[in-house]
Amino acid sequence: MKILEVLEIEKVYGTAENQVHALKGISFSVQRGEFITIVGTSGSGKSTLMNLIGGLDTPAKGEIRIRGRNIAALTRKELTIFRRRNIGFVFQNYSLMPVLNVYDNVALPVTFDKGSYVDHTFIEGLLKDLGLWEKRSKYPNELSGGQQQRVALARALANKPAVILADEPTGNLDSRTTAEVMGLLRASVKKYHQTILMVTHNEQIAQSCDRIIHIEDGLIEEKGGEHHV
Amino acid sequence: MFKTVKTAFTYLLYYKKQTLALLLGVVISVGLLTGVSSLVYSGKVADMERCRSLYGDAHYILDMNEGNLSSWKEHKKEAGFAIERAGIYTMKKKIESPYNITFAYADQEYRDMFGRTIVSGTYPARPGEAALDKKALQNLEIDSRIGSRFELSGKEFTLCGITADKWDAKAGDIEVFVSQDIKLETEQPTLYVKFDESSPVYPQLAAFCRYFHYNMKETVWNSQLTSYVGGNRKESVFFIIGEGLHQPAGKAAYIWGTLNEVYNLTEKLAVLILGLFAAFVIFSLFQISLRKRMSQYGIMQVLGMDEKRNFALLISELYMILLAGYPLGAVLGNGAAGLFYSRMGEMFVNQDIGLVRGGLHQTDARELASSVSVEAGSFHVSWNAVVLGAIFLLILMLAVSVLLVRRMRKHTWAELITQGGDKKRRSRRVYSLKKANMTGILGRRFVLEQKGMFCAVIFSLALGGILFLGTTYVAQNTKIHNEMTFKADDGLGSDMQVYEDSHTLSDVIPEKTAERIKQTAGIRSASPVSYTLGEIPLENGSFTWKNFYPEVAEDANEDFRPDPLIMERYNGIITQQGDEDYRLKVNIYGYCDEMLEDLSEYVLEGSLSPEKLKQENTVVWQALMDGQGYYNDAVKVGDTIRLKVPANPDVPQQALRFEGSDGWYKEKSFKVAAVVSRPLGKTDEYINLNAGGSGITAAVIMTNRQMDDNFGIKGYNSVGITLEEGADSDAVHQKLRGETSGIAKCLITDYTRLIKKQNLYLQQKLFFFYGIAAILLIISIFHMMNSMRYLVAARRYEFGVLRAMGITDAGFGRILMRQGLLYGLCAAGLMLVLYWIVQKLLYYGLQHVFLYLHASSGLPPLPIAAAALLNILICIGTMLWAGREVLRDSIIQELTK
Repeated sequence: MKILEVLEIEKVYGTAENQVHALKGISFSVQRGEFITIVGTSGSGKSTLMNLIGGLDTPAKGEIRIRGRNIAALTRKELTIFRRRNIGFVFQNYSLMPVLNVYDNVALPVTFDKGSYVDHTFIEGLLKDLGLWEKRSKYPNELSGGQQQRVALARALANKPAVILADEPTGNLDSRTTAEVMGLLRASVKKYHQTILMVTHNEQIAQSCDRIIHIEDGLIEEKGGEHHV
Repeated sequence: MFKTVKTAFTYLLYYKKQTLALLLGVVISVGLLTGVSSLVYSGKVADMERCRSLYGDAHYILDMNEGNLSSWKEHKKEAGFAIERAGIYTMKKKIESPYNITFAYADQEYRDMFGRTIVSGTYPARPGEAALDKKALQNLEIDSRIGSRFELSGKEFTLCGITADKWDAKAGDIEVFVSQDIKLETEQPTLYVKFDESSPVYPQLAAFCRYFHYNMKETVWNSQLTSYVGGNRKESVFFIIGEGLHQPAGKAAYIWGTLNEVYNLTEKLAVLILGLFAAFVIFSLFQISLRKRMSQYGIMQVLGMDEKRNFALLISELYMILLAGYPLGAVLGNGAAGLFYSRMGEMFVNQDIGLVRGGLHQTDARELASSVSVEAGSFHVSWNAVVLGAIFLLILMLAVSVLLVRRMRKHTWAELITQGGDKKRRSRRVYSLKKANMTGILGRRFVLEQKGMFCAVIFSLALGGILFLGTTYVAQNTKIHNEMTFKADDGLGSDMQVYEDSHTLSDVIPEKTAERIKQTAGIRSASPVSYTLGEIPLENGSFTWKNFYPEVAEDANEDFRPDPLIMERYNGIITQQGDEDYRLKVNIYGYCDEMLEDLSEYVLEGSLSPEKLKQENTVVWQALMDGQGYYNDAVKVGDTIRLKVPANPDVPQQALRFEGSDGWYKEKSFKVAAVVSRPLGKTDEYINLNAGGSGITAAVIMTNRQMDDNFGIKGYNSVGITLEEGADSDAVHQKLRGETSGIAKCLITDYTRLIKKQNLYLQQKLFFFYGIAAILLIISIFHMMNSMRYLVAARRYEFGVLRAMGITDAGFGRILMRQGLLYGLCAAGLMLVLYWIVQKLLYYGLQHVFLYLHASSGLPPLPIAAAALLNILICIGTMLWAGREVLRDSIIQELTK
């Protein structure tokens, strides 16, 4: 089942002689439950692609369909609501709310939907799976980098989104913690039937994913990966 | 050093917005501080000049028959003193009938110093010549043509000149200026000395007295003027506090009142508050500016910059801003103040100057009606405030820099670089278990995360609100007090008054005249007041205030002695009969029904009905009130008082001493129906607080009919007049003069202009205080906007993440709104708490220091609610304004910033 379709996406920054074609007609699709990694050199367009898929930016041309809906056609408000219900974000620098404890950070996106039911059993399960249950009342600055990234992952999963977009989630972590976080990502894909698109520089990490999308100069070059569960 | 200054300058240029915010903060604060100080100072200069024109341009008055003063002209400048000018006034005769008249010779210098210059004709050169002012000529009904002849005290004079009017026709006797060589009853020359004002004049007086072997205690001070030129001996603060602590009641009021009088505390306090507010705003703004680059200082310290250098960097930045902002603020502030002063300067001038005679306060302000003009004069920059303000801010900024460096020391370098080091204890509560909406929690947490800034913001906002509410509270009470004072002084807030300028009971305005006055065109109502002096016994220890009266006080001394005039005429206000028995002189007034109805506003106890007074022949007791607004309870409602009064108005004048034969008096007992705080129509010609200055007087009030029925008093002492709307007061004045021309010692005073003036001043004062409140509010809003911008900017990334996670613009707005609401509610709450305290202090001050009539203890809820709502709206508004920038940027921009 296709959960994400990227169709002939183009993105241009600047005007006239300063014009830069960040993406030049990229197309691909992602099946539900896939763990895909996007790799490329700096400035190749991978972050631009992630921003477009996440609805944080709008393409100059083309369509992005998540669960069959073209997100480029949505209004600002519709897009916001669609994003919170369908896309989870994991950022390189964790991006947790420093004023909230672990549990509240994880529950936060769910509470954005007015009247929505916060599935505390699900959150408890998530925290336990990610080894954070004992740390649920701690604040982000009381946690290690790996723990913070696990909280960020739990937060991304809390809303049961269609796609999780992870922008270099292990970029700030040491190799042992990186392995730990990657293990959790893969386990989450499996347990929660999640689809993950992850940007990374690390070829070794990329190799551990289902599929690798290689971007260079705004064009795509797709490779198959190995499974390491 | 140069490198430090250069780096500091680079920082200022780089952080343009913060630099501008700080600069603006300094400019506005300095402008406010120096501008207000200059306004107050200009008012002081105007006060001094007004005192000079009213009370004369002399500091001290000396009896020329004492010491070696005969040679003063040859020794105008000696060690320790320099006489700038001096005039001689020789009293030659005093008479009491038909008016109190003094015949005197005054030399040219005296006349110039006291504004008694010849405006027409010449000064008397020969014994038969005399010069008077226009009002004296009017009152004595002398033809005002030069050369006209008249007889006074059995001697014939030729009018050779007309002098300029006295500032207050009732201040002192009517003066008839005569020639130097005329021989009358006496020769009492007095020297009026003005010292060089470039140095304090009190030490000059001391040196002068030493030089001429003059007993300094015998000098009379023109204390109104000398208080401005260092001419009064200043008691030390400790002495005043010590004396206050020994007061039987109202210790705080005494201490405050005296300190305020001696050291002008109110003005200094106002300037100090403005200074502290300026300091607070500057500190808060700079702290915000600094927070933004704390990490950079951390990095520089890691690279080897020591604390001294860091301090130098901070102080250089602050001083550069001060260097640019202070002169600009002072120029703008004084410019605006100068403009304001030129339009409404009168409000800074002490309106009471001219209402004080001989050092004793004259409560019936309206007497001076049109004779006293209040002029603001020109605007003067208070250089003292400019210099002291600059020193204050220089020291303050030094302290700020020290404080900030010390604060940095508390953090490790790593914490400084990462802006971390958060060691606060936090709640471990999981909110999402109970709350479905986390935006409120998030907003609250964002607000309370930086408690210092939170407190600074709500404090600055609350301060503006407190000033607004405090001003409204004082203004409201001042308005009521003004209205009531006019009524209390003159009866029914009348526009004009016809009164007997006499202390002889037989001098009255006949009933028929009062009736004709009522019928006069242009007069809406006329309220006659009858009068007699009486005495009541206060026996068996019922009177506990004897120490307020020097006649009977245990601690009476040279400085606290009865007024000789009161002693001579009335044998004092109080006399002691036995160990605990006293007899108190009281004023006895008869009012018309309308006045009695109006008097009910001042009832402290009981009820007041004119009909009941007449039916039951009961009276109203005006309670004794001390200098701090406390009332004596020696006489209460239901008590019976025994009144002793002169048997008829024609008894000899000594009868007013209440020690003559019984045939001179009659006694009658009355039950007290009500106790009031003060009378309405009254006379100051007999015993009163002002005439004696040494005691406190009470009054018994009844109806005019009762005065007639009980004591046979038919005529009136005064008639308070209210004009019809739009009536020509000059025309009415003329008609009244015609009606009263044959009545001995009957004078007319027109208060219409003074009433208008008083109301105008009140409006102007309100305008000024609300203006200051508005400026403080603007500074607060500006401070708030800057803080909010910083707060939102500091959370920019977090807001970006929230938006990425799917919070809508409206949801984001709600978070900000909640934050604003929290700020607003806390600011409003703080304002209410602080205002509650301030209002208690103000209430105490109004009641016991300024002796306001019927000061209300609180404000109606509307202004309080309005101020609270304004605070909330400002906070929400500024928060949303600050949040706009976040929404203007895309989420990616937020995340990458």
